[in-house]
Amino acid sequence: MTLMGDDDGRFWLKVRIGLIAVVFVGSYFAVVGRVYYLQTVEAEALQERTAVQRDREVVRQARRGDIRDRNGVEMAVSVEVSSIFVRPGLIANPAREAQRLAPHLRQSAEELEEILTSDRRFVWLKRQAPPSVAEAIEALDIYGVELTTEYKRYYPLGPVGGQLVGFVGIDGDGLEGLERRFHRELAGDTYSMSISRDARGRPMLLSDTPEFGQFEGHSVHLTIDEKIQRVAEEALMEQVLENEAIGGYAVVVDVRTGDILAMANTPRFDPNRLNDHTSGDWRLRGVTDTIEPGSVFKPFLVAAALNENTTTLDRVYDTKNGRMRVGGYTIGDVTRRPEMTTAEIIQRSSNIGSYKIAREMGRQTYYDYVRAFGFGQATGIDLRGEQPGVVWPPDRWAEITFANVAFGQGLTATPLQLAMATAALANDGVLMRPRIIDEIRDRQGQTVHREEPTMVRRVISPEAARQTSWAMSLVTVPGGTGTAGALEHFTVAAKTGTAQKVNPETRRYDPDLWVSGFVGYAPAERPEVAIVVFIDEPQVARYGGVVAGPAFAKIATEALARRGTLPLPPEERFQLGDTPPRAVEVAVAPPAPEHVVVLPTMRVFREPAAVDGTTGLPDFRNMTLRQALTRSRNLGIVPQTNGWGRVIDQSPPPGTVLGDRDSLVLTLAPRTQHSFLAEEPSQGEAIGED
Amino acid sequence: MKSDILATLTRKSGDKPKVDGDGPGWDMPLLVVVMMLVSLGLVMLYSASSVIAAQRMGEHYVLLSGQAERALLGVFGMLVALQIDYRWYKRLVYPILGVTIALLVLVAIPGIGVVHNGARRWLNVVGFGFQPAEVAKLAAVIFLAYSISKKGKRMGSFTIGFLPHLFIVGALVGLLMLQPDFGTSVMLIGVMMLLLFVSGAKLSYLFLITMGGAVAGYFAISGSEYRTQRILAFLDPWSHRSDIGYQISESLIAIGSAGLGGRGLGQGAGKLGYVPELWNDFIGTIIAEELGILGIVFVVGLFLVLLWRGFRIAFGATDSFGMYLAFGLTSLFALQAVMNLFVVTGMLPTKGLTLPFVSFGGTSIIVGLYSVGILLNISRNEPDYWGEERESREARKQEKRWEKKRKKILSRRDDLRHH
Repeated sequence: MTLMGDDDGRFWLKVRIGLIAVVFVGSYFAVVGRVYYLQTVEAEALQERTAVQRDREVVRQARRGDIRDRNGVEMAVSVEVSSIFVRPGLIANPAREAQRLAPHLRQSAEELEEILTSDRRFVWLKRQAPPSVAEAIEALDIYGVELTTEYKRYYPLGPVGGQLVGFVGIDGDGLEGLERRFHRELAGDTYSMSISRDARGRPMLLSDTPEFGQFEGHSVHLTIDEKIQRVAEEALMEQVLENEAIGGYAVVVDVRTGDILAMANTPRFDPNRLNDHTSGDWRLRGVTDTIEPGSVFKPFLVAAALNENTTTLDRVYDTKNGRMRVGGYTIGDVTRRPEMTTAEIIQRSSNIGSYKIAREMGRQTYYDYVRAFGFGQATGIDLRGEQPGVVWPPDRWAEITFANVAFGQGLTATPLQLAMATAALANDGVLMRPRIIDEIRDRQGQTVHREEPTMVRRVISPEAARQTSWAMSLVTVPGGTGTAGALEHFTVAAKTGTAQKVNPETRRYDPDLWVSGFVGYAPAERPEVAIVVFIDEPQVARYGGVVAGPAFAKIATEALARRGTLPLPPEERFQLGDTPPRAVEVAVAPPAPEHVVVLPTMRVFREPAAVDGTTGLPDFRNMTLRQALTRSRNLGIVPQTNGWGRVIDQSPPPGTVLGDRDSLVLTLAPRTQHSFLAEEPSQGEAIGED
Repeated sequence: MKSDILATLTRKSGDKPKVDGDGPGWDMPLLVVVMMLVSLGLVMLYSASSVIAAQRMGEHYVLLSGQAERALLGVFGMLVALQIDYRWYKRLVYPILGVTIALLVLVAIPGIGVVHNGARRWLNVVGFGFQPAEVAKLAAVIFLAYSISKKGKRMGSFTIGFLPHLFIVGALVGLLMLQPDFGTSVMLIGVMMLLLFVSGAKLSYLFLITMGGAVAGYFAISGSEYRTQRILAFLDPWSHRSDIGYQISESLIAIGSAGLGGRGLGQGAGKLGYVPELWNDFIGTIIAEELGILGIVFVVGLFLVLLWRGFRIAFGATDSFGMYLAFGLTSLFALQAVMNLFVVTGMLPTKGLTLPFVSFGGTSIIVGLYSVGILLNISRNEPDYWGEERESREARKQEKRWEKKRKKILSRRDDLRHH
């Protein structure tokens, strides 16, 4: 207690403690002052240092939707993979890290060191790395080397449907095929999220994690049947190899709906192995290539003539023993006969007979039917690069050209057009729009868009169609040219063709270049599938029945089996013996498929008298929307338009005098602005400058 | 009754006991401030550690629950200390010092001391890491308070008032540097200097220690690559950002980039592995980053209140031991807090000191809360029952002794009588 009693000592004690207290208080204020300084004056500079090491806003592409066949089999899917990148600025010891990375990457340590020391902020080391590599590199835990998740497109079926599906680029852009065509639907949205990264650059603590799935792309469900597609490709490949051909095409169509069940061509293309292919391989040749169809065209001629009643199946034609001169040229038949009936002209593929049938019908009428069957114009499948084919107008036909066109030469068509036209014969004369997309569904499987089967127009009457089927059925029975395409339990309506090709160098028909074709459908009495097969430039054999027929039979067998088609009872089948063709009865028409969309305006053939009627409506067809609107405005008409792009149809037809109460309806293709904008404008679709 | 009168008589006027009916009898504001610091510590600890804990241990609250347990244990220790008359530390000062030195020796023995982050600092006590260095701080303060209060006016002399303290603290520092624990060593020397200064030691001696300390410090730093690097990193954190200056530069980035308002509780980015030991020595970083300038003002304010209440208790102590003890303990907290916050804000080189009551660390918070219990006990200003009763106790002993003696004599007398 000595100290306590000493007031003087106690005073100084208080002073000293006070002094220390002051020092402490001062120090504490220094801390506050320092933090204030850091958070105001230095804040910006320190924030900049932060920005170097941390990404806060990350934009990511959602998972791309699948492409599936009609049964839900995956044709294109996106799988998560890791991609590895480096931020060279953050690498402390480039030489050492290069050494550590090198064993895992296909690059030498020297190359890597160059990357690691570059002054770029961001370099990909390996896009879409295999999981083992990603794991190994993640385990190295190098500061500045980071992993991110990307989606890699994978095509489970490999080459099956490769050209149709197409492929995407490494950044997920649809580059070809349906991947390109439906990129907007498939891609899904990008989403951005505020993401924090830890000191190693790994994303952490997603402050408000978005529901990634909601941005996922839609899935596209095709009408393709993967099994039929596979058989078609394999059968085609077999025939191409056997005949040492340069290529082949096959298209399978559901005749009622216009569904494309398969569209195959060689060479095949595996989108998983892009580097093994050249750009020619991924062309969907079924729509981008045109061929001269040759004799497979004859059924359209006969169907048209039957529809026009300018012939009957049993009408006899003088076929001049297989030789006939037309305008200084000679046309000939393979089967030389003095005379043939119309049915025999189909069965034995007589060129002379075909010419005679066409001549009786008249050029203009025949031309109108050719157009009505869809030749010389886009089918409406809306795939990139589709060729319309070339059909010259009849006023430019020399007589020999007319003869050629009668048996399918001198005009070009895509395999798809031929398939659709063949299917029209099978579909009681109604041409359908080819349908490749069944549905587009969102990630929950809800349908967001459905393509309905769409009827383009009635081309011929059911009666004419049925009679044509009967005649075509003769082709696959003994005596016909297409017995190789016959099926055991079904009647096959078919037509073979061996088309001459123009040699691009001489610009003349080359006696050694052929396209062998086989088109047809089965069962002939109640058709379900139409199939066209073309083998390009076969070397070993050349007749369509021999070269393409076996492939047709294989595909047809598979297609009918897949659809569960049962053979018809004998009494419902065509009697192909001595029965006069006239007696072909029109059986009960098969039920029309549900949900068929009928285009609002039907094509009506031009009346020859009204072709250049000065008082009637002009022909708007093939005009662009702008052209059509300009033209109609000049006439004082405000038309009702339906669709975008080019006018494909109009109502009332050209030449009609428009009454006061009538309105003009123009139908344009493509149907929607959406599909119009989805493609870069091609020559057929552009709203062009006048 | 008699003892009460004696107690009243021995008590100095002006140092009235605070036992005046209502009120708990101890310094409530101090308790409140300390509990606020502990609570803030737990909140910030969770915010700082949850990410890393979840990542490394799978549970985001692992560190939090461990620390909460220890804080609870510390509160229990505080309540115990509140009941123990602080004068017992004076009476037991040498056993305490002995045990402390024994612990420091024990931890220095390889195989017993547990090495972590390159320092042998921990003893494994039934699964818990125990840091003798924390105890050494308390023991040093107790010894210094005892010694200074005993020497009183003789503190001015070199041999009596100066050398013994230097010797004992020097021994403790020597043991600490075996671990090595530079931070605690600096703390011990700092607290010693403060106590010597307050007790009236000659400034020339203090200056001498300062010089000696500076020389020793220089050798300690230059003798260790690690410490040299730390100094360099302190002087220019940015050029050492990728290695030794990493922690401090990331801390500065975290504080500065958050801005005055802070990022908001739980929104800090420093905890994503950028600032190592964020929940430990650098808890101040996350407070400044997430709570902004207000958070720092709050923490500093709490420590200022702690300083005020601690010094007030020192002034109010009934004896000089209590005063020095209270002053020493308060200085210990205040000094450590200042040094920690200086390190966090880049005003001192990194040396490994926790922010008292707030940082993660079991021994630190248990010993800290126990020390607060001592302070609170001093604040009660209870009479020294033991000391006061000494006379009566001795009188009783004397009486007993006399009684024994008397009985002996009487019995012997009886023996003689019967013979």
